[in-house]
Amino acid sequence: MKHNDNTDTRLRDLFKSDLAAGPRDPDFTRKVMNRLPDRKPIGWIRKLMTVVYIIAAIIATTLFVYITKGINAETLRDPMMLLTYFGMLATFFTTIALSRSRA
Amino acid sequence: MTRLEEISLVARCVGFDDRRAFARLVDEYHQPLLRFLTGMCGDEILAADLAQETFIKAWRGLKSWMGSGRFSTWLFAIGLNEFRSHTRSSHTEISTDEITEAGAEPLRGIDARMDLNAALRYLSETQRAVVLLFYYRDLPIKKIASITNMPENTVKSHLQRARTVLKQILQHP
Repeated sequence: MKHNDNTDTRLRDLFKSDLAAGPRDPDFTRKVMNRLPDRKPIGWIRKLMTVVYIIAAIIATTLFVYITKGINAETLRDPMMLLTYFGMLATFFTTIALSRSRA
Repeated sequence: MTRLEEISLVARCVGFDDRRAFARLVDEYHQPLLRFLTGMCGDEILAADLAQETFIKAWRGLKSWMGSGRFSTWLFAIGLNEFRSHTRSSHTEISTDEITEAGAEPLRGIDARMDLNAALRYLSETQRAVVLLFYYRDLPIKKIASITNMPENTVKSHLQRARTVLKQILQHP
């Protein structure tokens, strides 16, 4: 086992030192990025969905503020209200993210 | 790069088509991949082509990376498959299994200063992959088995045979 360990250490050192001096291409990333497939154009259905989602989010936020009489210290003290508020925000941002995602 | 960073970057690529995030992954992993593939094929230009193909395939298949393992492990598996496809299509690989099975006989007279790439040519394609992943990437047997798609005992056996051959090269100038 010790015999193998010695061989392993020698081989590991050899591989590390020899391969560390391997090829370097400063333009490699640029070359790869240039070869990536083009972005897919956003279809009209997706655009329409985005608009509908944004309008729905605005209406929901307005209703929320109207019903709770705004965000004040009292609202923030209620954990359920706070959770609802963050849930709405999360829904809003997720909607935006999904509308921008790849088809 | 931590695993969390990898997951975050891949999520940005998949969710937002964020190419800058992918460029960061390429920046981080292209050098080790390039060296691994150079060790595999012994040709820097071919290795660069294969590495580019590997990243493009990785981009196309990013959704299939579940985040269960490291991104680099998944990437190296794609790279190895890319290399295998290339050797299959070009029929350039010369089988050295017979040489390595026969023991030290064919290794006599090898120049003491032979570089690592030349030494690697005395190994079969699978043995080369295993030793590169084990000695250069420091990967455990389990991960090597996952990359090479072989049982762990087979990996160990390939590693043992490759170790014997490389040791002979090092000890018999």
